[in-house]
Formats: sequence, C-alpha cells, structure tokens
Amino acid sequence: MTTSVETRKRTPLSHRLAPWLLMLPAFLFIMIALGYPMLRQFIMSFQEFGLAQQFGKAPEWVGLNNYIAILKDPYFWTVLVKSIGFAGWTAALTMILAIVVALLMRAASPMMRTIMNVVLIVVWAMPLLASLTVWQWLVDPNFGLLNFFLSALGLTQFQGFSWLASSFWSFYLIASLIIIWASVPLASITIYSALTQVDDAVIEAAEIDGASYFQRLRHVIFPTIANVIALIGILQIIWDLKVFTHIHVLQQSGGITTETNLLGTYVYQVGVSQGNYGSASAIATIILLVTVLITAQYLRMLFKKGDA
Amino acid sequence: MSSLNRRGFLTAGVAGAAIFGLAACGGGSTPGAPTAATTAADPTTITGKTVRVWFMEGSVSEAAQAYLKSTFEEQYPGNTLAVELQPWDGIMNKIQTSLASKSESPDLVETGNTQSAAFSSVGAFADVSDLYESLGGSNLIPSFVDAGMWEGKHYSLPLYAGARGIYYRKDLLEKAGLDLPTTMDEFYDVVTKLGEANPDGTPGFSGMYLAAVDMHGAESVWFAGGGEWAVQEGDKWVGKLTAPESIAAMQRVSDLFKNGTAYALDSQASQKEFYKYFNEEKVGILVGAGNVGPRLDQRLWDEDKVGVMPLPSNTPGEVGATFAGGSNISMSQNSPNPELAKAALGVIFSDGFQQLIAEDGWVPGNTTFGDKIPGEFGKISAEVVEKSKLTPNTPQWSVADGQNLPKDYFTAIAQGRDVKEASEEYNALIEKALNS
Repeated sequence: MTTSVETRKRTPLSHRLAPWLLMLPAFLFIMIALGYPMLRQFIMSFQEFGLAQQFGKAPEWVGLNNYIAILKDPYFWTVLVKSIGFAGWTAALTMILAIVVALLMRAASPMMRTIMNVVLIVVWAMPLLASLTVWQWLVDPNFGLLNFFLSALGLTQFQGFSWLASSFWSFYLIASLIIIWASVPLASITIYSALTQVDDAVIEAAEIDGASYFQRLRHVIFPTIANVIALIGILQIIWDLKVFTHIHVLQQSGGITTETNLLGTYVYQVGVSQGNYGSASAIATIILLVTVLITAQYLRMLFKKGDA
Repeated sequence: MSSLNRRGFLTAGVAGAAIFGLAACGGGSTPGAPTAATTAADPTTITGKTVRVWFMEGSVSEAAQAYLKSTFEEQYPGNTLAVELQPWDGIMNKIQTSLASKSESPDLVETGNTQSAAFSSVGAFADVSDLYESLGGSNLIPSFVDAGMWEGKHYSLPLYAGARGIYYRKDLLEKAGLDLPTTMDEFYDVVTKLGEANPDGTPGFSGMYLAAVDMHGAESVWFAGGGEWAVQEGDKWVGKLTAPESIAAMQRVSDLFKNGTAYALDSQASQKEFYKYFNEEKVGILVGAGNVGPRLDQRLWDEDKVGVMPLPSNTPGEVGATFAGGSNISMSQNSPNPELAKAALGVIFSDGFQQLIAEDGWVPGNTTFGDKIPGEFGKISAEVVEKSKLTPNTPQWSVADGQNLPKDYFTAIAQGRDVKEASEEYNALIEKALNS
C-alpha cells in the first residue's frame, strides 16, 4: 500500500497527464458532435423560436413557459404513454425472439448456422427506406400480399383492408412488426456470440446431474449471458422509445397522424412541420430525461462495472 | 402595431443577411474578381452561374421545363438553369430549412398557393414588386396575386391554377341508364348506382375514386356540397366545420366513402397515380384537375368514352365550388443569383412558357393564355376556376396543415367516424391552430 503511494508520487508530470491527453480527442469529438447540438437544444427550449427566427429574427426568452405548456397538454401525456407502451411491447418481443433464434443457432449444425447467420446479416444490412417501401407494398390495402393471402384463406373482410389507415392499433401492430423484424438480427447475433462463451463442460456436467433443458437454460446458460441480454434489452428500449423513421414513413401511407404519433414524430411535427422549434426542444429535453430515468438501471450497472 | 415593429425588424435582419450572402457568394465562386458583377443590374453580363429552380412533382410538364432551360440559356449565354423536382410530401419542412440557408437556397421556388403566406410573412421570399407590372400585372390571376402579397408588397406571383372537375365514363353511365347529375344529391345517386350496376362486370369495380389521402379531391366534393373550413370574423378565425351546410356536405362525403368507392383509405403511394384506377377501368368517375386529362389512356379518349363536367352544387344548374389548387412562384431572399433569378422569372412569365403551362391543362398564371387549354377540360376550366375556393388565407393555415389536421379530418371520416362528432373535434382543433 505504502509503496504504491510512493511510486505514484514519483511519476513525472507527463505520465500523469498522458491519460488525459489520450482522452482529449474522444472528448473533443463528443463535445462537438453531441455536446453542441444538445446545448443548443437546451438553450432553445427556453426560447420562443419559430419560423421567423429561422429567417433571422432574434429569439425571445420565455423561461419555463415551453415546459409548462407541454406538461399541461394532455396530448403530450397520451403520446408519452403510447410511446412507452410501444417501446415496452416491441423491445420485449424483440428480445424473446432474439434469444430463441440465438439458442436455435447454438443447437443448429454448422451448415445451418452459417445460413442463419447470412440471413440475419442480410436483413440487418438492408437499407431502412428500401425495406420500408417493400413493407408498405406488402401491407398495401389493394395490391398487398398480406391482404391477398388473408382473403385467399377465406377472410374476405381483409379485402381492401387498410392496415396503416384503419386504426392506430393496426398501425402500431404493423409498425412494431417491422421494427422487430429489423432489430432481431443484431440482437440475436450478439446474444449468440455471448452464448459461445458458455462453457460446454459445465452444461455437460449439469446434464449428467439430471438437469432438464429448461433447468440448464435457467441455471447455467442465462447467468452467463445475463449481462449481454440486459445490455441489448436496454438499448432496444432506448431505440424503440426514440423510433422515428419507421413511424414517419408509415404515416405517409395514410392514417390519422395525431393518433399514430410517437415521441419521435411528435417532436418532428411540432418542430419542423409547425416551425415551433422552442417547444420541440423542450419536448426533446423531456424525452431525454424520461430515457435517462428508464435506463438508469443500466447506467448504474455500467458504472458499477467500471468501478470493479 | 406590434406586427409593424416586427416586420421592420425582420426586414433589417434579412437585408443584412442578404448582403452578407452576396458578398460570400461573389468571393467564393470568382476569386479575385470584384463582386460588382454579381450586384450589377444587367444579367446579360453575368456568366458561369447556375440558377436553381424548384418545381413540384407533377406540376410543370417536361416540355415546359425544357423550354425554360433552353430559352434561359440562350438569352443568358454562359449560364445554366437547373430544374429540381420536389415531392409535395414534407415540402414545407424542406423549404424552410433550405431557404434559410445561404448556401443551400434555390433561386426560385414553387409553393402551393395556400403555403406562400407562411413564407412571405417571415421574410423568406424576396420582394418582387418592381417586376409585377412587367411580368403581367393585372392579367395575373387576382386571387393568387392577393395570396402572394404581404403588407402591400408582392412576394409570390401565380404560376398556375388548377380547379377540379369530374372525368366520367360516358359509355358506362349510358349502359347503366344514368343521366348526368345536376345536383350533389344526384351525384351521390349516380356514383352509388354506377358502382352497383358495374356495366362491364369489372372485378373490384367502384363508382368513383375518392380517398382521404387524395385530400383536395375529397375536399372539392365537400366544398361543392357547401363545406367550409373557417371564416374570418374581425381579427378572429371562426371554424365552420360544424355549420349545418358543412355537416350535410360531409355526411355525403362519408356516405360516398362507404358506398361509392373502395378506395376511402387508399395509401399515399397509390394515390400519386390515382388516374391508373380510371385507366384500368376500375372506377367510373374521377375528381381531378386539368392535368389529369393528358394522363388518361388515349384509347379511352379515342373511343369517345371519357366526358368532363364541373362538379354540381346543391342548386340544379349551378357549378359547385371546388378547391382552387395551384401554385405560386417566388424568389428566395437568400437567392445566390438574384439578377439571373429575376431574368428566369421573365422567361417563366413569357408567352411561350405560359402557353406550355396551358397546354398541360392548367390555367396559367397569366390569364390571357387561359384559352390555350386544350381538350375537354379547356371547355369547363373557366367556370370551375371562377367558382373555386381557397383554404383560409392566413399564415396560420400552414400551422393547421403542419399538424395534418385537414387530412386527419378526412381520414377520420373515411374510417367511418360519426360525422357530427368528428366535425366538432376537428372544428375545435382547427380554430385553435388558426388563432394561435
């Protein structure tokens, strides 16, 4: 103990500065890429900033007015509750499917495993807008494959049924389906790579001791990969809470946008479409706080790991 | 009083920005050369510049675009003109971000006539009052000129107007033994009976194409029946969605969605080419502007199967009001080449270009060329334009539009919501947006 203190005392200044200098590029990069927009957003959330300001007029300070107006607006709460529900449902289903696929890959023959891997990568690498266009055609009311199959099965009520415009329930169903389809690949590949770290000898031992498949899952496999699952799960929730592109593009297909808005599209509508950047910044700041609250558990985990 | 102050402040700010923009541009593109060339009044002395013009998808025909480009480049040698086509979806957002940027701003930009006010009022467009007389003056469509004015100055000038009429299948109506409707009630009967009769036995046949995403088509059926968004009373806007005439007209739209068409909840992607349903003979009646005519199958025209008529109103023999679609053209305040942009405006309002707009079925900005509209639609275009109606002329309408309220209202009706209930809900929302 004493020796280590003494050596630390004797380290030259340059050695003590080195870690800070090494951190500097990353720090600067984050400050420029993330820090400035966030600061700007934070400042704007206390201003009245509209279309006229966009074209050069000086903004007006309004204190907490933007925040008060939003928190008093029942529509904000509706959107918030819908977003949390949507993110919870979508992230949960994504995780369940991803774990199932990862376990399947572990059990599959090397040949099958390669095929599954390739399929997952292809889905994951598909450009978002291209896949959304294909999905829109699949669920198109008049020419869509989905309605064609459903009505071919005798469910004629689906002839010309508009999944995206009929009600927000069917809209969310399709939206979450597409998001799950797009998120499962990354999640399952990550979980699968964690699964390869599970010691086969331990599983074998458990098997010899008479543990069933589910007992092995629960007591041997899951504890080993729990951290990865928690990490992916929380990231999934963050992504699904902030989802924008999917919802925005699907809204173009019709439907009542005030009913199908989630937080991402709501901010966009208030800010960009209505030119009310002040309020939009305030909403974005509130979303940030909500995200931090929801993911506090993960952050705590991260910091604990850092200390250990 | 306060608006005057605000305006003064704005102009000062924008003028400053414009000078800054000019200096930056001149210095950037011709290093060493004095910036005098850019600020000189004579555009023929300028070379090596590109004038960027934004037109909307489906508005100005390719022939007219080509004419504009070649005429401009001939008259101002050494310079080029680039037409960039923009989709209507999300155009408000795109215009506000691009026009605010000195480096990204196009020189000329087309906006929907209901959208111009929002930009004129914040100083996004340049004042073109000095050009007004030379570009056509009192021959320009008056209601559009008004929509493009802000505090006595001209910021936007009319590019074209396109009121809507009905395209119908003569042969199918004849086979079904139906007469042309003279009132909106008869219109409803004709559409539903035609759908039921399906004279040619086409699978999936509907009386007409009517969709919530084909906003202005559905809006025209509503206007023709007496529908109204809002009127100005004093300095307040009062919603009219719940007025008895509006409700009755919307009830008819709702019934048509239910019994007259299979496309009430059509997708936006399909709507972009909605005339294909007519060409595939899946619908018998279409509500469309003059530019739809040339897009209908030539075979149908040749076989004399297509008729054109105005939408009727509630009074027999009177033409119904339809949505006065159309566009204005404006010069960006941040235009990198203001002199050349003004020169390009000159070409746009020249006889040749105006005639090409008319040939595509639109009523050109300069009404003296209105008789150049060819074909069947040309015969009715004068009376439908005269009866046509605009959405509330206030910058706040774009707030309501930005919230998607008008489209959401029609979608709610298309979903089968109770007309009275939906009208009350959206009346309150639209009134709030207009007075915000």
